[in-house]
Order: sequence, then C-alpha cells, then structure tokens
Amino acid sequence: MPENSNKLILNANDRLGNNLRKIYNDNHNLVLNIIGGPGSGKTTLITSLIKNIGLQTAVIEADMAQDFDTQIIKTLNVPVEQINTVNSCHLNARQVAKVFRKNIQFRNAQIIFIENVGNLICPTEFFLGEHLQVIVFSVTDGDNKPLKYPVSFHKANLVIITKLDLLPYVNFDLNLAWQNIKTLNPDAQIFNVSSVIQSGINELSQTLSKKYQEMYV
Amino acid sequence: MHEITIANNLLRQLTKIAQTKQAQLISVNIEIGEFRSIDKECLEFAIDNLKDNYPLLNQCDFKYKIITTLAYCLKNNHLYKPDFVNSFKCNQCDSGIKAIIQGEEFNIANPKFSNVVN
Ligand SMILES: Nc1nc2c(ncn2[C@@H]2O[C@H](COP(=O)(O)OP(=O)(O)O)[C@@H](O)[C@H]2O)c(=O)[nH]1
Ligand SMILES: [Mg+2]
Ligand SMILES: [Zn+2]
Repeated sequence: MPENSNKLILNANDRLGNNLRKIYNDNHNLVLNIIGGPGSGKTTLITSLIKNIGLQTAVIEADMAQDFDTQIIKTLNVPVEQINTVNSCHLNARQVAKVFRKNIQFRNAQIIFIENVGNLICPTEFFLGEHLQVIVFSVTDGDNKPLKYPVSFHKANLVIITKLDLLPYVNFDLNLAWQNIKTLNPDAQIFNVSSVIQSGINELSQTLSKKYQEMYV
Repeated sequence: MHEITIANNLLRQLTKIAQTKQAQLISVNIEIGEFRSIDKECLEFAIDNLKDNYPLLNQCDFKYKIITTLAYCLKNNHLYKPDFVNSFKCNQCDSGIKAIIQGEEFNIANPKFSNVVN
C-alpha cells in the first residue's frame, strides 16, 4: 500500500515498500508485481515479454520451493534471482530489498518482473514498491474469478487474461470476464493474450514500453 | 496465513511507539476494512499468540473492529455496499464500483499507555 502521508504506516512492510519505490525511481526501473494463481501462465508470459519488449529486463522468481521458473528465465540470459518463501504464501519487501543489495545487475534493468508466489489473495497485502500491480488469470480458470478475488482485482493496474488460444475448448465467456473485472475496477487496463500463438504480446509490450518512456525518458 | 506476518509487522510498529513513549501499551483498537485481504479471526489468533514476544505489548487488550465497505457506483454515484450477493454491483442501477470510500482501512485507534516503565 503506497504511502498515505497523514496515517501512521502500521505495516512495517509498507514502510520498506515505500523505500524500495524510491530506489526503483533512482535506478529508472519500471517494476511489475505479477500476481496470479498457480499455473495461470505467469512465467510463460514473462518469457514472451522478455523476448518481445526490446528493453533490458530482470526477473525475481518467487516460489515456496524449487527453482524451475528461474531455470527457464536463465536460458534467456537475463538477470534472475530466486526467492524461496518456504512457509510463506507471499513475497515481502524485505526479500526484494535483499535481491537489490545482492545483485547489482538489477539496478540497470529497465523493466523488472517480480513473479509472486502462485496465490490470488495474500500477495496483494504486501506492497513491494511496484509501479504496476498485475493480475494474471487464464481462460481455464473461469470467467468468475474476478468476483471470487475482488480485493486483488480492484487493486490491479493491469489485468491479463492468458491462454486465449484455449478459448474454443473451454466454457469461458470473455465479455463476462471483462465485465466482472470492470465492475470491480473500471480503470484496469485489460489484455487478452496467448503465449502459445503470441497474440496480444506486442500490444502489452508496447504498453509497458510506453509507460517506461513516460516515466524515465 | 499471511496474517501472522501482518501481526508481527503491527506488533513491531506498536513496540516502536511504546518505546518512544517509554511506556507499556495497555489497550488499542485495531480497525480492519472489509475490503482488505485480512481476516479478523486469523489476525486475532496471531496477535494472541505472538504478543508475549513483545514485552511492551504483552499486557495489552487488543480490540478489533470491522469497517464495512461503502462505494460510489460508476453510472450514478449511488452510495452502496458492494458485496458478493450482487456481484459487487450497485443495488439500484447495477453498475460497478467507481470508488471505494470506506472498507480498505487497516488502522489503529485509541492507543492507551501505562505510566513510564523503568
Ligand atoms: N495453451 C496455453 N498454455 C499456456 C499458455 N501460457 C502458459 N501455458 C501453460 O500453462 C502451464 C503453466 O504455465 P506457467 O507459465 O508455468 O504458469 P505459472 O505457474 O503461473 O508461472 C504450462 O504448462 C504452460 O505451458 C498459453 O498462452 N496457452
Ligand atoms: Mg511460474
Ligand atoms: Zn448505482
């Protein structure tokens, strides 16, 4: 939760998150906190964007255990750091700050993708200083997901619906999904993408590049 | 179970305040907005179990209050309570949330301190 000047920041995490935001701004990093259920397509989407975006990227991968996603990102030769949260269902600002101290390559990245632990509830309570909170869900998850996780969808800056190539095979009403998102968050920018057939990826890359230009160029 | 982390963060911050006052915290109200991913029962359980680790807080009576969600609707600025029953839509005109004006809080109120501790 970004700083609210006349309220005491109750949550020590928010205080650290606000400090991180200043560091990102000094470095000229555009930072995305990518939140979605397990298997919603977060890693695959990040991979597609890295290949497409034409900016320097870096990735923080969070999982309770293992480093499968980090191994995938490594093949693309971009800086990547794994955080294993072990018993915790979310990333916190302290863990991200540690990555920044440890790996100086992150300072030079123009876009930083933070893939949060697969979970649609808890991560939204922990501000990581990100500029954009991104919610990812797929057509195989069901069009009612926004209404089931209203807080996360309400707070999101971008909502990305993934696996559009599977639309013919599943019972998913795309218009209804958009409506449900807009009910909770009329300002959210929504994207339909498929990493398999690479649809929507260009448009999303351009939106992020534009955001980067607006902020730092 | 992220409430455990939130509880520890909260207790740490409250300890800082108690330290600057050089006093023991005796009671405090914790206000939790309904439209947050913070479960009151979980938070209460976590604080009950953690407060003994914080010497300036272990006597404290923690009181909890839920703040209900209120929003203005997108089409007509109706004041309404978004909830699961009507898919978070306005009960008068069926449009969505324009702005939430209440229910996203996580505040403390009325902290009461004992006399100076030695
Ligand atoms: N058909 C299809 N499958 C996808 C797409 N994106 C991801 N997947 C598959 O969905 C599964 C989970 O993807 P992953 O990116 O690991 O999800 P994460 O857990 O959210 O990081 C993998 O088997 C991916 O190959 C997509 O656009 N279309
Ligand atoms: Mg992943
Ligand atoms: Zn209305």
